[in-house]
Amino acid sequence: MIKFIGVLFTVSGSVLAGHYFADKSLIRIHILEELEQALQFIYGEVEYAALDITEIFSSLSLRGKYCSDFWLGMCSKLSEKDGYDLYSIWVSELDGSSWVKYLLYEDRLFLKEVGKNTGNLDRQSQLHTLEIFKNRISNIIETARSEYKDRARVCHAVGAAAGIFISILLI
Amino acid sequence: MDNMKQVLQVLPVTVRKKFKEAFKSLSDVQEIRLRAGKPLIIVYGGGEYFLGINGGLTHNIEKAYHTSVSDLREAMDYISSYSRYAFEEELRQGYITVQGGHRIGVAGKILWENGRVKNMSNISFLNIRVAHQAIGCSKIIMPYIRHRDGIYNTLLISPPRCGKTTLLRDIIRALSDGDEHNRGFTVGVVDERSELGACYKGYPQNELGCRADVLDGCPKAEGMMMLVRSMAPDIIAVDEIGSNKDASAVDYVINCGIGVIATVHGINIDDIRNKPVLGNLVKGYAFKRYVLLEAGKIGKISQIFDERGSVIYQNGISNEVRSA
Repeated sequence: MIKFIGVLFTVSGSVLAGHYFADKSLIRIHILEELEQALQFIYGEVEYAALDITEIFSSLSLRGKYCSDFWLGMCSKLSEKDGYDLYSIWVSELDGSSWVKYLLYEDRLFLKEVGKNTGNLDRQSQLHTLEIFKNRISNIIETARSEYKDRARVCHAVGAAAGIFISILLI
Repeated sequence: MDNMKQVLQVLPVTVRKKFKEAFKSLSDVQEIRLRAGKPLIIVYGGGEYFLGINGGLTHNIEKAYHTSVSDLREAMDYISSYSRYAFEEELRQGYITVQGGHRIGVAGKILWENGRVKNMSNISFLNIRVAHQAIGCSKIIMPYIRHRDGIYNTLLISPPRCGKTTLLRDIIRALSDGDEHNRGFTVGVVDERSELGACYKGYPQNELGCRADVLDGCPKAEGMMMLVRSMAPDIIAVDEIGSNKDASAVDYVINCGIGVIATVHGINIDDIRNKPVLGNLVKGYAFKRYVLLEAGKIGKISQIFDERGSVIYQNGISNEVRSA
């Protein structure tokens, strides 16, 4: 009986771990989608009203599920005007954000690139750059979505298999 | 946010610390000039000083703090709120108005395209002009331009840098607020160069009273028409009229029964009468009052004339007193 309970716990634990890793990929997609919307919003505000970046970040902090703290932090640090440029603040806020752990290394590099090319350009170049970033993030999301099903299947299968394998070893 | 803090916010952090040591308030500070690789100059109380390398003010260039390129970059970040793209039009004009109405002149490499300034890059020179309002400076002339039911259409005349805009701003405030003896009027302000209201994010930073509506950054002629159509003003105030379009718009506004207060560059009333653009308005008695400011003395009213050119006020003495 104890062995049976042990096997049950081990298998369900590893299945849950597999589920967690599959879920992590899904959260990554959600975060990227939210960032895509943010880029779209920034583009719109720059194009239509030419609002300054602090105001745009302030509006973004009221939207979204994952990244609102990041935008709020950006907004508050930029308002302090304490000797740091936008890129340094962007990188430090990004590194301090909890949702970043769901992203891949390449996603983080992409986001840093966005920070590096925001604010210090003229309007036409800024819009052009944002357009490029929007296209790039769309491609990233598309790839992530297409990979997600296979990845989720692999995670679930590996989780279950690992549970069974560990159980056999323990028995 | 107080005046001092608003100005400090646009200075680079290193300069900010030294500036704080040198000044407790900005009441006598007129300009702060930053030039890449050159000493930081402060125009203070009518004199010019260098900001000392260890704080304080100095006349010794050796002991002066020299502004670096990164200082200027940092200041530009603060001035533009890290958003260079949002200030393209201002950069094209050569100045940016920041919170508090302080105006920052910029100079650097001009990008020229299709016969006009497209943008400015490598900004290496900044001139921070600290805003000082002269509230109450219009008190002397108010009885001459205001009557029971409204105002006399008034033209303020002076050479540049004599305080026309400052005087106009205070007239707007006085008319808009009113007082215990005079009702307030709805004043539409066309502020093409953001000098009257010094709007920052749409809010006037200068005191224009409680009944003023400001069209910021709008060309004067178009702005006057828009205000007539949309805001039902009692009075329209406009700074530095000069083109045919401006004159036609003023004529239109007056014909609509709306009072006009405007300023113009000039030496005296004859100078204005002989100008092709404004001559017809003057000859047609469109303006009922002409206020002449004294050259070389900021804000000093020299004479006030009526529409026929008769002096009704001269150097502190009104016509009635003079007749007596």
